[in-house]
Amino acid sequence: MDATLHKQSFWSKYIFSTDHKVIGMQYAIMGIIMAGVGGFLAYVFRYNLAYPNASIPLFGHLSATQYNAFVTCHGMIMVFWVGMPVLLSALGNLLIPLMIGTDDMAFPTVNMLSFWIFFLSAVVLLASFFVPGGAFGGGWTMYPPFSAGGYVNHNPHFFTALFSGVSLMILAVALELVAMLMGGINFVVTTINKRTKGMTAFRVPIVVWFINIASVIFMFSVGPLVAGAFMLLFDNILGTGFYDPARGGDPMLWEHLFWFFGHPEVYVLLLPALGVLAEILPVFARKPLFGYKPIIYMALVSAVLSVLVWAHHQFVAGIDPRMATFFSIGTILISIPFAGIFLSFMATLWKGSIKFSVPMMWVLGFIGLFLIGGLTGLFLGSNTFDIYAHDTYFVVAHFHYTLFPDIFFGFFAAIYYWFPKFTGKSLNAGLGKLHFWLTFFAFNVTWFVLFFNGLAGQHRRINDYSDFSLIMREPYITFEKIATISAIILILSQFIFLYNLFTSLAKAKKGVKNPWESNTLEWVADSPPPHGNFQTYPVVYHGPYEYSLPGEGADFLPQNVQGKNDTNNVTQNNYEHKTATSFATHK
Amino acid sequence: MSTKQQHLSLPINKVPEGRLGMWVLIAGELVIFGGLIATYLQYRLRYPQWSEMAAHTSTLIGAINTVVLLCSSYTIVRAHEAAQHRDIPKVLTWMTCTIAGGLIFLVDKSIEYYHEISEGFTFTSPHLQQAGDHVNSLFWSFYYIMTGLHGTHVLVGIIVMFIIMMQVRKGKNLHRVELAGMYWHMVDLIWIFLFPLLYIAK
Amino acid sequence: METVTHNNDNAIFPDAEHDYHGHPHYTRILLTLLALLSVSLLVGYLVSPGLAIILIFGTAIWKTALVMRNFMHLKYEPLLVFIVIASVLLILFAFFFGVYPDITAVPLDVTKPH
Repeated sequence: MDATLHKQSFWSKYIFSTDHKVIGMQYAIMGIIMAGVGGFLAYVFRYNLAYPNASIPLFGHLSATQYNAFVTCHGMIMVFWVGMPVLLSALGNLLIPLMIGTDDMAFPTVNMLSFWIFFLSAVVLLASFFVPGGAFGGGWTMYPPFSAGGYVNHNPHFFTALFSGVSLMILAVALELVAMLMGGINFVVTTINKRTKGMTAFRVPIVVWFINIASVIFMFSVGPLVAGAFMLLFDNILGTGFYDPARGGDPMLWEHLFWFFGHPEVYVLLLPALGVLAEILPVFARKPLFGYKPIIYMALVSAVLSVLVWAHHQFVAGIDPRMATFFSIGTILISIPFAGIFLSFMATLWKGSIKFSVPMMWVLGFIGLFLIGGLTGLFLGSNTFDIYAHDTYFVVAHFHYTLFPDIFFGFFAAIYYWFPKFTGKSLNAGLGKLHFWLTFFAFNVTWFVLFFNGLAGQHRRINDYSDFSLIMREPYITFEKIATISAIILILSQFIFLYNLFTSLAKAKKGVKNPWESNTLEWVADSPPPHGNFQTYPVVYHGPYEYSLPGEGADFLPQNVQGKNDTNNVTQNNYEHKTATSFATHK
Repeated sequence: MSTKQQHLSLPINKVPEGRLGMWVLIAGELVIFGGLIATYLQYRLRYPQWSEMAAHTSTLIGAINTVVLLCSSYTIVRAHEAAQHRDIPKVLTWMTCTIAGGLIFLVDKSIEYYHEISEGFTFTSPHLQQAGDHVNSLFWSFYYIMTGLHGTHVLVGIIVMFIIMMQVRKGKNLHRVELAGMYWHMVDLIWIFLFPLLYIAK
Repeated sequence: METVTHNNDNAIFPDAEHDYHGHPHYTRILLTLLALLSVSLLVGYLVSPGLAIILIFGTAIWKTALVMRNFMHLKYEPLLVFIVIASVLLILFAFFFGVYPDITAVPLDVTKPH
């Protein structure tokens, strides 16, 4: 058990570490860095939209090609290099072993490899900005013909084609998917096999459940895209015609392959963030989570539905209209489980004694914003409305209203909540609140006005509207400027967070074990948890959300503390199996 | 703490970590190949004329390769059986047989590729394209991407198997024989489907 | 509180008593597999093409089942593993039938090469 006594060099401790906490931090830091890149790209093209042809501060003039590349890479980066690492990998790595009460992941070396492949993928993506022709600019969905060089050049030069923006982007995405696959295998196996004594399936915290469901959806839907990415790569570097209709291929095929993964991906991003909500809400409402099991069942239903609705992204692409109806209905059906989950969250708040701490504010902000995002999603799910609104700023505003709260509000809620655990220090609450309110208002102002621009017909892939008289008039010009200025405020307000982060890290360690008086197992470990997490493995007696139980002394009852209603015989699980046969102990 | 909860947590825990991880990996691999096969099937049903092209593939070499892979699956499972009895020389013998099977497969594959390429059927099949027969050139693109991806898996399997053999020789990590075996069986399974799809069904 | 034995890097292989799963008769399985293979090779010459396709893919599925159940020891695994593999296949079917109307069943004159 003397894992803490291991002599570790700087490299093995912080860089090529196999410790799940370090890997989680690496993912989070990488996510923040990439969010900075994505945010900068957003700033540049938003500025260009409000003031076409103006010289952009800190950048200069933005050409139309660059505009396309920036919009494309902004989307790519925010989904694959911010959302995925931060929500799935960082949270999964940091939380799963601690919350289920074990020392590390099932396959620590695979875990380390996963991060470094992810790092490589980020480098490849960023490198694509510097190759001749610049980064790929055909939209983050990479639809052929924009992405398939084989259309124009049946016999490309291998290396020229390989070192082009589009090939590098495909490679980067493929590497990123491999990294996430490795992480996903780790999460699932760790959760199933390494739970501590008494941690039965229905005593596992919701966030662990949700990260696992998200990993499973990811792993099971990504396959066709991996195959499709190979085909797209060969269209580019070898000149095959998989997606070229003139040579027997079909560009629709890519759309199906992409969205068959791309739609479940939305839920891959959403579920871990919802899990964070489920962890934080009961703590600051001091009430048990409403409907623990129904929430899990509803997430499972949504996971099943999520692989059946992908073609609602392709309503205007010329898919079979009968299938369009099917996909429309499926899309609207999927709102039922999510409505159920959100209603359970609301019911958790009902009559609770709510503490408006910083994490709680992010959580409530998330719920409010996601409501707008979710409801506009209902309109768009309907085939008839989507044909009108497709590719307008209405769609863009819709998915920013879902993904921004999802990725950033979810991430900030998690950071403000778990920061004391993983550093032993605390973030400044005043600055945290300022950060929240500025982000909340700036985000709303930016995107709410763009709903109207979208309905007026503003298209998402045009860099200069001078020739479009329907958009180049009041109030849409003003809206465009309001959105840009407020987007700049949104980006600048993130510096408050960075300032808060660095000043708090510079403070002395306090090592408060359980500052929020929370129940789950990570709060049992030291702050920060040492290598190996627990001195002795905790034994779990009940579920994770036992707050304000009548008859108990305190208003919270940690999972490793036996309550009055808990019986003594802890349910057996793999713990005995492991020690008895030593079969599962070797790696 | 109801008995229902016990029931739900028990059956999962029986699977050792390595096996469970391997199953999840196999599931992930199956979707990759499944996606490729599903895509191929879509085009295969759309273009009946591909049966002429499938006639150019060598059923004989394909059949030999199927036999080789099935036998190597058998040898690796025997290696696993020997590993459970800690019979290290036997494990090494059976694993060597398996690696030999993999190598024979690759050699066969290379001979096959050689014949097809010398007939002009390459990844892009320029002579077909110049004749305006783009649809049939797409068959060969699919043929090479599917067999190529599968061949890469065979190669990876051989390398993994070799590394594990080196560990087994020192008496370490005998349980990994089974894991390598599971991977190898998956490669075998994919070939079981590629063979009729690309070779027999005409 | 209890402590957990940490991972021994030198793998201890379980004894026969703690064997995780049983061992079917592997040689018999191999012979069945080879017999099935020869069936799938022969039907192409013996029966009508439609029936041959059904038989060829029928034997392929049979072979898959044999390899998975016996060589990969799926028949000794808990139900969960079976569900994982089955759900993968179901997802692939969903993909195939979702794409079918747009790729396979699309009127071909739209995509005829010029």
